[in-house]
Amino acid sequence: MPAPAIATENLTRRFGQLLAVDHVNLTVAPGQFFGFLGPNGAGKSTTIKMLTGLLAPSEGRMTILGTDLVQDPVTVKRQIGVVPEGLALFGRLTGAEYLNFVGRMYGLDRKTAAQRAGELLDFMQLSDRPKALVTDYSHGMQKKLAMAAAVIHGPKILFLDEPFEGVDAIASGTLKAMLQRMIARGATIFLTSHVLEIVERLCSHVAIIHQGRLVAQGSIDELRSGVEARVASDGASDASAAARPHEKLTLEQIFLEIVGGARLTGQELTWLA
Amino acid sequence: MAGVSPLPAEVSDRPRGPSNYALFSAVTELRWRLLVNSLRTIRGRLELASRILAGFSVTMLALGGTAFLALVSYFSIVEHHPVYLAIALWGMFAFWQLYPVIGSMASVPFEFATLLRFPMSFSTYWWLAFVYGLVDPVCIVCLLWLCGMLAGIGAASPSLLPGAALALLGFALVNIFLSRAVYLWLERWLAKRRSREIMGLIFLFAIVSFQFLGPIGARLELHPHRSARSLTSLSTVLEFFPPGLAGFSLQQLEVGGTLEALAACAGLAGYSALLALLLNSRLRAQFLGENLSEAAAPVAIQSPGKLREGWDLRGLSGPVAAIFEKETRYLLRSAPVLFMFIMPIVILVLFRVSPGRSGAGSALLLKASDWAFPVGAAYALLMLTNIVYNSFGADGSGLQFFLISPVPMREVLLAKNLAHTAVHAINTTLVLIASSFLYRPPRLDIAFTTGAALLFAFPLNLAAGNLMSVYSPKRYDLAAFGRQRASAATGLIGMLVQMFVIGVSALVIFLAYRTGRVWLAGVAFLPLAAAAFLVYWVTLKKSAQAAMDRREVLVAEICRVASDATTSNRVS
Repeated sequence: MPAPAIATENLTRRFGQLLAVDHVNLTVAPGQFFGFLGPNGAGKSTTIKMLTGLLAPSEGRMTILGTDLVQDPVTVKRQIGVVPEGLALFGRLTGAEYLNFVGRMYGLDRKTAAQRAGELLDFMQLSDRPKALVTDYSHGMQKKLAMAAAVIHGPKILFLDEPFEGVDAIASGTLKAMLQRMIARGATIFLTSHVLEIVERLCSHVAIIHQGRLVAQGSIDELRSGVEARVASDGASDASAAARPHEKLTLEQIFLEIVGGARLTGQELTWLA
Repeated sequence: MAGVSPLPAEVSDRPRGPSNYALFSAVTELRWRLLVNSLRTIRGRLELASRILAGFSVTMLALGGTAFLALVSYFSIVEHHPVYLAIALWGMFAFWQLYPVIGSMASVPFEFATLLRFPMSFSTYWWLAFVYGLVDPVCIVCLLWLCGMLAGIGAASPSLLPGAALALLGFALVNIFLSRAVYLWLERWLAKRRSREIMGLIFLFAIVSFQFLGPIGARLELHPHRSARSLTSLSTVLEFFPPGLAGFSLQQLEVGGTLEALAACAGLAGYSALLALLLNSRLRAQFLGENLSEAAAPVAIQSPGKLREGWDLRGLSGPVAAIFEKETRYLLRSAPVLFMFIMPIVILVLFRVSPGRSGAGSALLLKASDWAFPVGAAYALLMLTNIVYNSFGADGSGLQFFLISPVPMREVLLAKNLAHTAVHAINTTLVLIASSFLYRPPRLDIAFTTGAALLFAFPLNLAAGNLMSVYSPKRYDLAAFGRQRASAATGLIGMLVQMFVIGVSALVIFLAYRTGRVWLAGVAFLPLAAAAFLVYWVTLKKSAQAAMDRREVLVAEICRVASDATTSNRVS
C-alpha cells in the first residue's frame, strides 16, 4: 500500500491563547484532488502554511509522500509546488525572469528552466508582455504566474490556497484544465477555496475544518450520505430542506449542514429593498 | 406593463443626496476614527507622539517665522528697503510649493478622488478639495507668515495697509490654487509606479544639484562684475512670476506708484484665475470618473521574443546563481539604489569643485588627494549597508518563496551576500576610477591598504547584516524614495559595527603611518580580514537557522501589505 500523499497526526497550532488548528488528523491518498474547506477563520490557511513549511506546528506530525516535513524539509519541498496566500512573487522581475529563477531554484538546468518558462508563459497566455514587471501585472495575471511557478518543476503534490480568487472565467478555465491534466497524470492536488461549486466540480475528496477542528473528511459522496442519514434521523434543516426530493444535496448544502451555518438568525433587514 | 410591479415608493423616489455639512462632518469623523484606531498599536502611539513633536516644531516655525517676517517687513518699510519683502516672498513661495512636493515624492499620496464614491455634487467636491488644501500645515504656516508681513507693513505705515493686503491676498490665492493644482497633477502622475520612480529620480538629482549651489555661488564671488550682470537680467525675468509681482506691488506702494501696484495685483489676479481654471479642470476630470490608481500601467503589446536563459555563473550552484541574478536585477532596477551607488562619486566631485577653504573637507582631500579613494570607498561601503542590514526587506511576498523552496536558507543568504559583494566591488572600482580622474591615482600602498581594509570591513558588515536581516527585518520598497528608515535596532547595531570597523582601521593606519610605511597597514589588515571572514562563516549558519526559526516573524513583517501593517499572524 503506497504511503499517503499527505498525512497529519494531531497537527496543532496555537497563536498565544488562540488554538487555530486543533489536533487535526488528515489523510490524502496519492492522485486525489482534495478540497480543504472551512468558514473564515476556521484554520485552513494555517494548516496549508504548516503543510508547506511556512509555519511551524506547535505539536503533531506531518508526512508528505512518506517523508517527515520537519525532519527532512528539503526532500519534501523538492516534491511539492505551492501557491501560497501571498503568491510569493518577486515584483521587480519580469514573468519570464521569475519563472527562470524558480526553475533553477528547484534544480532545473538553465536551458530546461528557460524552455519550461516559455511554455508556461504561452500556456497561461502571459507571453505577450515579456518586458512587463510582475508588479505591473493584474491580480489574475499574477495568480496565473504563481500557478506556473508552482508547477515548473513537475511537482508530485500541489498545494493551492484559494487559487481561483480574483481570477476571471477565461483564466479560471485555463487553470482548471491544467489541474485536471496533472490529476490525470497522477499528481495530488490539495486546495482550499471558498467557491464550493468549483470544489464540487473538481475535487473527489474533501475535508472540512471548523474552529480549528477537522469535522468531516472523505469523498463527497461519503459526506453526502452521512449528512443525508443525519437529516433523516434529526429532521431537515433550512439548507437541506432547500433540496428537492430525489435530488442530491449540493456540496454547499452539505457544508452548511456540517458547520452549522444552515440555521438562519431569524433577523430580517426590513429596510432593505 | 402587465406583470411588472412598480418599485416600492422609497426606492423609486429619487434619493436625496446628503447635505454638504453631513459630508464634511462624515469626512472629519472618518479621519478622527482612523486616528483613534491607530492608537491601538504601539507603532500608532509612537507615530502620534512624533506627530505631536512635529506639530510643536511646526508651531514654533509658524510663530517664529511670523514674528520674524513682521519685523523684517516693518524695518523694510521704515528703512525704505522694500526689496527685502520681495526676497521674503520668494522664499515663502519656494517653501509653499516645494515642501508638499517633497512629501508626495516620499510616499503614495492620499487619493482624494476615492471620496467620489459617495453621493456629492461637483461644487461640494470642489470645496472639499479646496478646504483640504487650506488645512495643510504648510498652507497654514505660510498664511500666518503673510499675516505677519501685513502686520509689519501696517505698523510701519498704516496707509500702505489696504494695498499691501490686496497684494498679499492675491499672492496667497495664487499659492493656494497652485499648490492644490500641483498636488492633484502630482497625484495623477504618481498614481503609476513608473512615473513615480522617474519623478523620484528627477527629484533626487535636483536635491544633489542643490549641493552644487554652494560651490557655484563661491565661484561667482570670484567674478563679481559678471555675476552682477547675470543676476540683474535674472531678476528682471523673475519679476513676472507671482512672488515677483507681489514684491513689485509692495515696492511700488512704498514709493507711491499706486497704479503700478494695482497692475501687479491684476497680474496676480490673472495668475489666480488661470490656476483656478487648471484646478477646476483637474477636479472635473476626477469628478467625471477618471480613476488612475486602478489603471494598470500602460504596457504596449510586444511581440514575444526568444526567452533568454538565466545567467551562466560558473562555480556557483544553480540556486545560488539564480538568487545572485535576481538580487542583481533587483538592485539595478531600483532608482534609489542606483542613486545610492553614484553618491560616493558625487561627493568626490563636490569636494573637487568646491573652492578650498582651510579646514573644509574639500581642502583636506585636495591637499591629500591620495586619500580620495579610501574616503570614497568607505562612503560606498556605508551606502551599501542600508541593503546588507535588511537583505530580505525588498523581497515582499517573494520571501515566502525562499521558505517553500527546497534551497537551504544558508544558500539563500550566501547568494544574497555574493550579489552585494559583487555590487560593492563594482562600486569601489568606479570610485577608484573617479578618484583617479578627479584627484590623482592613489599610491600603490594606499590602494593596497584600502583593499585590505575592505576585506576586513565587508565580511563583518555581512555577518552583522545577516543577523539583523533576520532579527530585525523591515519591509521596504526598492522603488520608493525616502521614509524607509531601517529599524532602530538595525540602526544601532549598524552604528556600533561601523564604529568598531572605523576604530580598528584608524588605529592600524595610524600606527603604520607613524612608521612611515603605509603598506604595513595593508599587511596588518590581512589577518584581520581572515578573522572577519571566519566570523562571517560562523554567523552565516546561525543566521540561516535563525531565519527558519523566525520565519513567522519574517513573513509577518516582510510580506504584509501596507494597510496591514499592524497584523502579525493571520489565521486562516
